[in-house]
Amino acid sequence: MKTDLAIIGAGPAGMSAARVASDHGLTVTVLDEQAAPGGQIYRQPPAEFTVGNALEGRAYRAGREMVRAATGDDRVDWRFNTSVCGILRQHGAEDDSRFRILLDRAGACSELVARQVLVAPGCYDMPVVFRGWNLPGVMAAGGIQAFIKGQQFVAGERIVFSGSHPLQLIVADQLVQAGGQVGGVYFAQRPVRALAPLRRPAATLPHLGKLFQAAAALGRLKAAGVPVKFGHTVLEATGTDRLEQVRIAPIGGDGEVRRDRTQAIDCDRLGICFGFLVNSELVRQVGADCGWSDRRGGWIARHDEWMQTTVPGMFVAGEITGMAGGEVAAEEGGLAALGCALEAGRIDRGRAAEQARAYRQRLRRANRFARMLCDLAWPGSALFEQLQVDDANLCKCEEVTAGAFRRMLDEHPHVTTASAAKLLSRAGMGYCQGRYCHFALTRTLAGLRGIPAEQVGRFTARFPARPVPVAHVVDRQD
Amino acid sequence: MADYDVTVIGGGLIGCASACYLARGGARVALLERGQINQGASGQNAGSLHFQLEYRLIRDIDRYRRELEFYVGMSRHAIMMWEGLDEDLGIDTQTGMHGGLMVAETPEQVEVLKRKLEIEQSQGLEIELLDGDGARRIAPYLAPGILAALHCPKEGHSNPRLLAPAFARRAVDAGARVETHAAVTGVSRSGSGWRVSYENAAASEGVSSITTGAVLNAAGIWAVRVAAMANLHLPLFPVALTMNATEKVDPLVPHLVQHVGRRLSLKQTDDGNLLIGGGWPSRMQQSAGQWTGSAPPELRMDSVVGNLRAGADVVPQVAGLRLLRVWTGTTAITPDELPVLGEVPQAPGFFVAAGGSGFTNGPTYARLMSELILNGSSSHPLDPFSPARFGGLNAFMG
Amino acid sequence: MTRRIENDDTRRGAALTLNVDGQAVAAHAGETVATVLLAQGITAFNRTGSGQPRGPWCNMGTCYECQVRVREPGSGPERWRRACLCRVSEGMSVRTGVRLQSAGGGDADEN
Repeated sequence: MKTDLAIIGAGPAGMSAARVASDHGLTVTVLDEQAAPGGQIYRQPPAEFTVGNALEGRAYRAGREMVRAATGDDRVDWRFNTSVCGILRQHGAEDDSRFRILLDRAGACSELVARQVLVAPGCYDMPVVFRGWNLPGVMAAGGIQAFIKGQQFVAGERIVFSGSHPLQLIVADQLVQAGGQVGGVYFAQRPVRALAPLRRPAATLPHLGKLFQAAAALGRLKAAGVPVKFGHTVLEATGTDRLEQVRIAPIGGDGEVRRDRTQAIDCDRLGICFGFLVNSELVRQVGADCGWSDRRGGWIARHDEWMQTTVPGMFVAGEITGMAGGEVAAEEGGLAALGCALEAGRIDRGRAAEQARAYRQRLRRANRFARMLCDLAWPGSALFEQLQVDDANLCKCEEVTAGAFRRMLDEHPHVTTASAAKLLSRAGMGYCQGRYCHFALTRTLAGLRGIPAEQVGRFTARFPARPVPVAHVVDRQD
Repeated sequence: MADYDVTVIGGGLIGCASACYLARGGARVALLERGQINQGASGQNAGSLHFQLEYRLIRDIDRYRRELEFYVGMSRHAIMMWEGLDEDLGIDTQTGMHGGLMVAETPEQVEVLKRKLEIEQSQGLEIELLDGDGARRIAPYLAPGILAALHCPKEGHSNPRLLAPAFARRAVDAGARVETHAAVTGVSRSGSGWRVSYENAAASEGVSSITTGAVLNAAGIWAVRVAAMANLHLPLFPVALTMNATEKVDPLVPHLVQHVGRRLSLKQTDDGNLLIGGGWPSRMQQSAGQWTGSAPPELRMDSVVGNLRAGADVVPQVAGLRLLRVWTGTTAITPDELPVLGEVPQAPGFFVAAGGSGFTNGPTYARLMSELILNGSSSHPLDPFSPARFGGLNAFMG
Repeated sequence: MTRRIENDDTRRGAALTLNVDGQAVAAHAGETVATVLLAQGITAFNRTGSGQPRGPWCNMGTCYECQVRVREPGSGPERWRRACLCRVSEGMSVRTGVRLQSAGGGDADEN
């Protein structure tokens, strides 16, 4: 299989890039692990369902249009239910193809050869280490929302949220509207911080819609009698084999979690909503440079003004460049596709620059707001430190507790990098490939050694990016 | 007086273990490591304890017969060391010596096993030839197509993640100074000894230097550069390899499984993962027209497929597991693929320990090198592996 | 209890039956295995090496917490699948609560 441009991810960045790249005459293949376009933000119900109000509401209008256009765009080779396991550089090809993309799809591995690749794999809910976070019933708020959007399903009898990101208001509101019972929404921030956006009107004004959406959700939740509290956090989740209760603790003015003043709330589902981490493993496999940002998603890809990474021919768009939401993702996707067309010689520099201008203008504005939202939603690492008790799993897959990890660091004072810590502790060696421990591990290591995260460095991103059956590799279909 | 008796360059298994044994022997020891402990081949190999002659060595079985005999003798020393290592280090190194099987799938391969057996038995290695059914009796997981296997009861595996760091801790306990992020930038003569300069990469403290009676170059793939700083040639070449790890399963393969005619080593770690390797290449990255060991080698998909096929052909249950991780690593080999161990004749006080089976034999190399440096001789002969065998190379150097 | 949304606006896919831990379970086309299991009140999708129960976390294919043993209808092998990405089908069979290490992968169990 061969293509000019392989796009990884069919969310807003990938959908918009596919359209623009096709407009410029590139043959495009889009790869996505889900069954339909939209990504997480514009996730749709399955084709077998009839849902009158899918992606309803102002916030989703643009997304609805995008999904509709993508679904009908037969210039693009859409490949869903396809896991991308790796990207390799192509050496010694007769043509100018530069990348080999290794896929796991329909029970076999295969390979897609591409001249250019645009990596737009989005993000996932940030895991936070606390006692009981792996108990069945504790979930990512985004996962609970995906049950509503994608499955028309309320995933619990009584659902409680704890976090610091406004998304939890939206999800709680969607649940209430769907007839679910929300036992409370707890924000770690003090109320005064939550009002911060209003103090920066220049960044805020063009995005009042988003704030309005959150405010309206808050209003509806209050009207429905759902407690929404600031300055509180989950301390632990308890239950026998499944979530039965969460303990919520107030946070003092000094940022201290008051373990002595907890309240217990019965629930069978807890949504965690402290922000998001970006998926940069695939670009790191090829050696693209990344920089650290704790509040914008961890290791985020560096890129030039055309969204090209430090690896020639490899472009990025969307959350992988730093958490910024669906609007920014769609703009970046368009800009990256222009960059691809320019690099491929399908458009001259002057025209490309002209067409890029509008994208860049919109991006400047949208990015200002996105950064503000990231700052606002960041609860501060001191909170995470307090929640991360010794018996909680730092690495859930290998069941390496935070205590065991800290003990290892005590015993081996020379260990200062993520790679060395992984090798000694096994944290990061399981099914999720380190996605759910690297953030806590990096923060813990940097904190204990008194060094910046950049110096701790990242796990080496290995093939396969998703575990793949040996039988699929051995019986490859090319 | 020099600052140190011995400066060990390289924080891999050989470097850390040498620092430990040298310090325990009463020497004042410094160990300098450019990055972190155990980040090179010592931590990246798959942890085989292989005492039989390997696939790669027996290709030239007639040409290097004498050296191979010494090598088998060294294996006996290595077995003894591994048997006492947990006690020596005071930790559970997760060493399992439950036997190793080198399998053959064709009649030609069975003949190679027989020739190999003769050399190994003549050197007193405990080893026996089993037919296919005999092999499957002790290893029921083997495929029906296995015709024969050489069974060496002392073979097995240990945990490369833990070993070098444990030696580093014991080296410190014995009084050695262990410094990481210390990249050696110069090695020059100083009186009857040496001066070693290094930069602290992390703290940007500039260049420091120490004087030392002897230098032990245990820098793995970087050993060539360290030797060059002392104006010496070292015929050591980096090779990039591939290792595969499956998801964990309940105990399935207690042995080390190798193949006499295909590149395969397969074992199960104490944690449950199957590690499948055996010398499949990856591709070293280049920077400004030179190899670079700073970036991980690039994966070669043909290696992954070939290696997993060999694994699934020999142990069919492998096909039903998921591949969790493939990693690449770099090690260094000599032209004759045997280790280089000893003092460089043109540079008294400059010792080298590198190349060839550095995990299985790493503690042994370290023990013997520390004896050589402390006493001028070792309890098992190292002459066949001395850098002197490449003597002509350094005739104009030093 | 969890709740499937079904009203004037929302029609679910055609009814079908799958087998979960030996029991016949009704579901709808388009649903994921994760949805069907939670709707059944099943929370321990699998167990870790140390025996701890685990269930869905991210619901988007990233965390691998929701793995269950799935056999597609027909003669295919039983395999570990992510319940959140796996769509149900008529005649599918699912086993939950299996220790991740004990069943290993898929084909091996056939032997």
